[in-house]
This record gives sequence, structure tokens and C-alpha cells, in this order.
Amino acid sequence: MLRSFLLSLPNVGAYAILAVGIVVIFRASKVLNLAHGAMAMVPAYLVSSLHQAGLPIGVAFVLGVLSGGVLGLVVERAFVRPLRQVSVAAQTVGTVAAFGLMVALAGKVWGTGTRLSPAVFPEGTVHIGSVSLRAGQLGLLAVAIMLAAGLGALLQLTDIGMVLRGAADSPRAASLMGVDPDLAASGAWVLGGATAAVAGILLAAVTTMSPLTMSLQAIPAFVAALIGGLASLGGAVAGAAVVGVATGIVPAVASLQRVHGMQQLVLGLVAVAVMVARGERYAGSEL
Amino acid sequence: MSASVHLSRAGKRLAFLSLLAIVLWLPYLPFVPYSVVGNVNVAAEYALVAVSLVVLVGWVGQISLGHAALVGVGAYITGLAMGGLHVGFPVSLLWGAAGGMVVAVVLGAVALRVRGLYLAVATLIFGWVGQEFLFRQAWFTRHSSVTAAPVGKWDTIFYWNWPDRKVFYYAAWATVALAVYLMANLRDSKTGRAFFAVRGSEAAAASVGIDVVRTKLAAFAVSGLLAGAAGTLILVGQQAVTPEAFSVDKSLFFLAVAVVGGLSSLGGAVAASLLFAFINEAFFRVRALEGWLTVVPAVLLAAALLLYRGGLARLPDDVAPWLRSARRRLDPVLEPVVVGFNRVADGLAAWLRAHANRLRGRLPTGERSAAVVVKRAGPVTTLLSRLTGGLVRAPRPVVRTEPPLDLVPPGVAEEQGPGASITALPVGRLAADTGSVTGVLPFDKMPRQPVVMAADRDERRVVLGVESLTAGFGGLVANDALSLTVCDGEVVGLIGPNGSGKTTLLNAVTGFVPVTAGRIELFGQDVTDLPPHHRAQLGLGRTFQRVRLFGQLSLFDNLLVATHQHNPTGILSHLAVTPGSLAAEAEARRQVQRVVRLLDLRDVAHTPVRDLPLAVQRIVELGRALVTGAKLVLLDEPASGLDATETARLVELIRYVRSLGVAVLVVEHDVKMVSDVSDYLYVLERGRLLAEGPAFLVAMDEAVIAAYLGRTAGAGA
Repeated sequence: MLRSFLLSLPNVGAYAILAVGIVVIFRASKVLNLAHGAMAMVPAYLVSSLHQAGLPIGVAFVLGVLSGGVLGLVVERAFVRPLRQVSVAAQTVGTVAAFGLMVALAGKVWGTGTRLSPAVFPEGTVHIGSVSLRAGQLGLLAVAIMLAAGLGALLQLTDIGMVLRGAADSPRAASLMGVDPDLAASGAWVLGGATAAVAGILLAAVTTMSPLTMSLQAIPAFVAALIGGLASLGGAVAGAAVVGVATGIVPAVASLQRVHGMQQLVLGLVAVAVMVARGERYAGSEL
Repeated sequence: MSASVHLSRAGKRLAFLSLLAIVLWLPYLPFVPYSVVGNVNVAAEYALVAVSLVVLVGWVGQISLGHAALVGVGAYITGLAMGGLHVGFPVSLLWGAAGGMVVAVVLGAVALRVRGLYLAVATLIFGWVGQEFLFRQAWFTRHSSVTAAPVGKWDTIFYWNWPDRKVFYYAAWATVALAVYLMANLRDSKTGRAFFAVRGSEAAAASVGIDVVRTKLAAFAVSGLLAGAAGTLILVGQQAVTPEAFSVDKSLFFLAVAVVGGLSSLGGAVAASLLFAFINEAFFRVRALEGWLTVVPAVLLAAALLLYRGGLARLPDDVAPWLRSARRRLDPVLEPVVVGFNRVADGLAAWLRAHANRLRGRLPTGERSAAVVVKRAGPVTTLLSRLTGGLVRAPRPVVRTEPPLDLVPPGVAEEQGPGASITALPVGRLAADTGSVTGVLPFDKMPRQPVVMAADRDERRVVLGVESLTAGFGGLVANDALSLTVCDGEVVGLIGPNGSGKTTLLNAVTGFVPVTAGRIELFGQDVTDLPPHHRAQLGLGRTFQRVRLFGQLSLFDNLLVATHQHNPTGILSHLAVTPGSLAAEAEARRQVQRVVRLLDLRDVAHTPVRDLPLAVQRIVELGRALVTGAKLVLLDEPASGLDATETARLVELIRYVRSLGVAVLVVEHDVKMVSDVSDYLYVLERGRLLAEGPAFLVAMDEAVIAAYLGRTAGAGA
């Protein structure tokens, strides 16, 4: 049990980074970014290609994160903002279009098969009892903790955080106070895109990836964000821990091991439990 | 340009017949390649899923990102039925449909606890669980192919080589045609209106007595049924399926098809399916395009969202200016059917023309759905009559729009401009319509109801009793042990500064805000724990502070939604268009016509309400509450956003409503307006009652003026 708990930690880290990005974007623009997984996948492939082209991994990593930020901006400007006047649902479908486009183009450019990605952290393993974790996995977890803490501090303690939150709650009030709500939303998307890139690159380094499977890695992160109520970073990290550990425990149970897709089923059950438990609060009042 | 496409009548008939012949003989036409037939069959599968999404996403506004999983459930359950129970094809459609329906209802029941974006995530997870778990379990996918076609006892009746492309063409498109026909029936019925109402505003839908939960579940059921049936078609048409056919990216693909079709249009969904099938064929034929097929759905989805919003459903309207003849074909008024050389073709052509409008329709506007009612007799006779081109005599399919609403005394109409302003609200005319007074009366000669005195109240029936009510959000108590009563036939005002708890009280009474303590009685019945739609069904109507109309529907249809609870017919009779459902529909329309006349809104009856000025929207909201047959109407700041003239007219309207025997509770902070209109006043401050009494006394009360009115002015309310 302890073993599978430790093995699930890298996933917790990846889900946490993704969920935090989803929450940052949601708080600033009230849009659920369904393209988040694809925004993690494209930089991962980019880094892999840049590394193959001979760039050192550090440089490739930085370029990849930058590309994630640009991607966030592009998705917001091209697929979300033009639909703001229509409805929130239309904006959500807009992110679906962005998702489909990125997955399809990635498949066209890099192929739809699975491939390995270069390690970001130096090779090596750390032994904790009988469990050996790769450095990359521990690095992923460490980066997740640092990112979540850093973003939390940024949003809670600085003016930037206030601007990002205020702009979505009341664009009008924000603009009266001299804050450009459009700029604030774009900033959130850049931030969300960059964090998605970090998650994608680090996750790809410790697993295999294909355009679609990599993009679907965000689904557990959506559940994690849901557990946190989509509004709090701390909640999203806690949600990531719940989701990561719950799905990570599955391989430890021998009878479940052989059933295909058991992790996904557990995730679905967690999601159902969350909805039933917190449903009233989500449904909220329209008034 | 228009001359070149302006066909003569004979030419049009020839074109139509040729098209019909191609459609009917497509698989056997010598110049149609085999692959085309295959792709047209695939289009039928797409079309069924797209129609299923139109119902759920387009009409009810519930985003589904896991629809492919519902299709997959239908396919694998069909496989189990065919392989395990030896159920043959046409019957196995029922299995697929039932499987999809059951799973969709379960999904809906879970997802009902969440809304909007959360629902989207819930369906996404469902799709993922289907893809990774359910469709990889051996017990569920045991019979995922029909190559060893089972022969059961049903097959001796229905035996045919169904998977054969040429045979499947007819089976698949007949299924799609049936589905589109049934859904068009549903759209133009009470059920369809409830769908649109829930999409427009759940709160407003509940306020007219629509059970939002039931309506959503019904939508999930219908949508799941169609998706499951599509699964059957896919299994039979492709002869074998793999889990990849129902993965999450397929869900997004299906959503793209529906959005490209316009998302709320049945005809658009079918057209988009054919477009995607055509693209499949083109990419299959043109080598240069190889490998780009996967990009197409996302590109088209983006285009339908960003460049050409409204999708293919918009196309006929945009093309119409260039095709004068096409415009005429879509007119709801049928040309007289000439009994010519081919009665069958004539009858069919007439039928198709009459339905062209409905198939391409995005939303039922009042006129179009009215036309539907008049033109239909019983379904069987009509069908027979149409199929035989009138050989079987039945009511000739004559499409008429509603009789004009102009039943106003002559000479009045000229005084009113065509505009949609509240100033066109002649109370004299309203009185004339009730039959009690003839002719047009100016306001000052209107018979006034006597002022209800406080002593008099004890003898009247209490319609609303609120006893020591406490309600609020979170830790904030907005109402603190508040008591008030509204009696039969009186207008009660509730005033207080912003934040004094007026709206919270109103929301608690209507059931939108939970009550912490206390008791609410409506017409003598304890309703404290009843949901909003139950209270509405008891005779409670309301308006909203921020107007909540169903913006995309016409004014007429907005009012029609409110007849919901008086229409006893169910979803099955709507699907089949039974005579009973038609009679109920006609009665509902007569009722709404009456109210439209009363409120003098004929000029704008078929305008989408979102295009109307605020003053008119507020009247429509009041009208909607009246159409429900409410005996008590709660008005939440009806005068906010209105100018002085409009407010004065509103006061007259409220008095008129009282004269109909409807009690009114007005929540306002416009003190003058409230004391003008009310018989009895309650003054609220910080969640508690400050004063109560007959309006003229309270308004003169020194303490109230000093304590409240002064403060209001200071607060700038």
C-alpha cells in the first residue's frame, strides 16, 4: 500500500500542476479550459523535437514553457474571446475546437503513435524502502509543490492576484479601477498555458506519450479541480492528491490489477461521489 | 442572376422528382460508386448522433462531451442482444435504444446535481470511463461483430441481408427519417417548449410550473435513446466495432457535427452529417489530402463557431436572396395542389413542402408552430392522404397561420404606433375586452376597486401567509423572523432600502431560497418545503428583478411556455401528435392569444423577446405569470429601469391585474410607485419589519418618513 502510495506521487504532482492551471484560467475568465491537456501535450512534443534537433534539455525546456504561454494566449484570443458575447457554453465549445485542432495537428506533424520524451532531470533513482523512484518523478513532484506554492502566493498576496480574480467577477468594476479586464484574462491564460507546458513536459519525461493520450491526461486534473470547487488553488492541489492516490492505489489491489481501465473507473466513482456530496453547492442558485 | 435559377412550375416539379428518384434509388444507380453508398450510410449514423446532440445540447443546453460512449453502449448492448439472445436487426434497434436511454438517464441523474461547466466535465469523465473501462470488459464486448449473423425467430419475419450496403442504406435512412420526424413533433410541442425554457432560464422555467429536473431527465432519455439506436446502426452497418469507435475524441467529433449543423436545427444536423460524409469521400479520393482528414472536424467546428455562427442551418436564409423560387417554397402557405399526372408525387411534394420549414427550423416561432397545429389531422389519415396524393380523402393539408390577433374595437389601432413601447398599453381597451365595459375608456373613468382597509383584511381569504420566516445565504440572515400576509384580491407593497431583504423574502416565498426557520402558506397549504415548480402549480406567479425571459423565443412562445401546467398531455402523445395533444395545443394558443390581446402586444407577438425594449419585456414577464393562471403574482422591482411614463402605465396595469381577481405582492424601492398601487404596505429594514398598514396611512406616517424615506434618499436608492 505504501509502495503504491509513493508511486502515485508523481501523478499527484502532474495533476496538481494541471489543476492549478485550470483554476487560474477559470478564476480569471470563468471559462473551463477543456483544451488544457492539449496545451500540455504540444509543448511536450516540441521539447522532444527540439532535444532531438540537438538543443540541450534545459534550453528546450525553457522554450517549451514559453511556447505553452504563447499557446494559452492564442487559444484565448482565437477561440475564447470572440465567443465571450455569445455564452459561456460557446466559449467552452471553443476550447473543444482548440483541443481538436491541436490534437489533430500534432498527430499530423509528429504522428499518432506513442513515443518517448527526453528526461528533464538527470537520470538516477532514489530508494525509499523497497520503492525506487526515478529522479524525474521526484522532480515532477517537487516542481508541482513549488509551482502551487508560488502561484498561491502570487494570487493571494500580490496585486496581480487581485486583478486576475476581480476582472472575472466584475469586468466593469475592474475597468473602472484602471484594470484592463481583457489584459487580466490574457495574463491568466498565459500563466495557465505555461504551467500546463511544465506539467506536460515533465510528465512526458517519465511516461510515454501520444497526442491523444497525453491530452486526455488532463481529465483527472479536471476532477481534481472539481473537488476543489474550481475556485481555490489549495482545493485543486488537495483534489489532485485525492485523485492521484485513489487511482494510484488500484494497482496495489491484486484483484483489481487485471481489470482493464480500473483506474478510470475509480476516477469516475470519485467524481460521482464529489458531485453527489457537493452537488448543491455546484448547482448553486441562478438568482 | 435570379432569373437563371427561377424555374417554371414544371421545371421545379421535374427537379424535385429527379431528386426524389435519386434519393430512392441511390444504391442502385449505375453512376454511384460503391464507396459513396458506404459514406452516405455512415452519414446516417452521424446524423442520428447529431440529432441526439441537438436535443440535449441545442435544445436543453446541457453540454455533452461523452456522447460517443452512449453510442458505444448502444452498439455493445445490441451486440449482446444479437449474439446472446438472437435478436435480429430491426428489433435490435430497440435494444440499442433502450440501453442508451437507461445509461443516459443514470448519467443525467448524477449530472443533474451539477450544472453547466460541471456537467460538461461529468460527461467527459463518463466518456473516458466508457473508453477505458466499459468498452474493454470482455463480458460487455463479447459480441462486437455481426459477421456470424444470428438467426432468431424474429429474423424469419424480418430477414434481410442488413449489413449489405445497399440494404443498409434504406434501413439507416429510414431510421434517421423517423427520428427527425419524431423530434420535429417534440420540438413543436409542450415538451419542446419546456426544453427551450430550461435552456433559457431554469429559474424562470420553474416559476411557470415546469419541473426542471424531470425535463432534463426527459431530454437525457430522448437523447440517449437516439444515441443508442445510432450504436445499433453502427454495429450493423460496419459489421464489427472496436472501442476506438467510441473514444473521447469521437465524442468531440460528434459535437463538431452538431455544431456545424447549427446545434439546434434538425435539418442542419442531417446536412452536416452529409457534409462530413462527403469530406470522407473526397479525402478518400484525392491523394493530396491524405492524412489531413483528422484536422477537418476541428477546423469546421472552429469555423462554425467563429466565422459562420449558426452553421449550416443558417445557409438557406443567407442563400435565399439569390434564389427567389426557393424562398417561395419555404413559405408556410401551401400552394393549391393540382391534381395532375401523378397524384402520389403531388401529394408527396406538398407534404415535403409543408415540412421543409419544420426541418430547417432552428426554433419554433409562434407562426410556424401555429401552422403545424392547423394543418394536421390525425397522423394516420394524414399520412395516408399524403402518400396517396389525396386518393384517400382526408383534410387537405392546408397550412394557415393563426387568425390575426386583431380583435380590438375599430378606431383604436390607428392611435397606437407600431412601436413596442409600454405607452401602447390602453387599460380602457383591456376593460373592453373582458366584456364588462364596452368602448374605449380613458384611465380616469376606469372603475376603481375600493381601497382595502386594514379592518377589512381580517374577513378576506389569506392567499399568502408568511410566519416568522428566517432566510439568508451562508451566515448572512437576510430575513429575520418576518411575518406578512397577502389577502385575496389586494395589492400589497413591500418596500425597503437596498439590502433590506425584500428580494430574499420573495425568493423564499417562491422556493428559490431555502428557509432556515418559519413557515410559508399558499392558499391555505403549507409550502415551506415544496420546490418552486410545485408552488407555481398551486397558483403562484412571479417576475424577476433582472428580467428572465426565454430570449431566443418569440413573445408569443414565451407566453405559450406558461401554459405548461394546464396542458395535461405527455411526451408520448407529443411524439405521435395525437389528436388529444393537438387539441390541448390549440387551447393553449387560444389562451395566449387572449392574453396577447389583453396586453396589447399583437404587433410584436412574433418578435424574439430579446429584441424588445425593457418596458415591454417587463410586461411580457407579468403576462407570462398571468398565463399560468396564477392567483397571486409576486413582482420583483417591476419599475426598475422604467421611466416615469412607463411606470405610470405599469401602475395601471397592476390595478388591472387586481381587477381580474389576482392578488399582487409588489417588491420595490420606488416608494411613490408602491404607495400609488398598493392597498396595504409593509416596510422592511435590515430583514425586519419596520411598519405595516394601509398604504395611505403608512405613506403619511411620520416615523416611517423620518426613519425610512429619508434614509432611502440618502442611500441614493
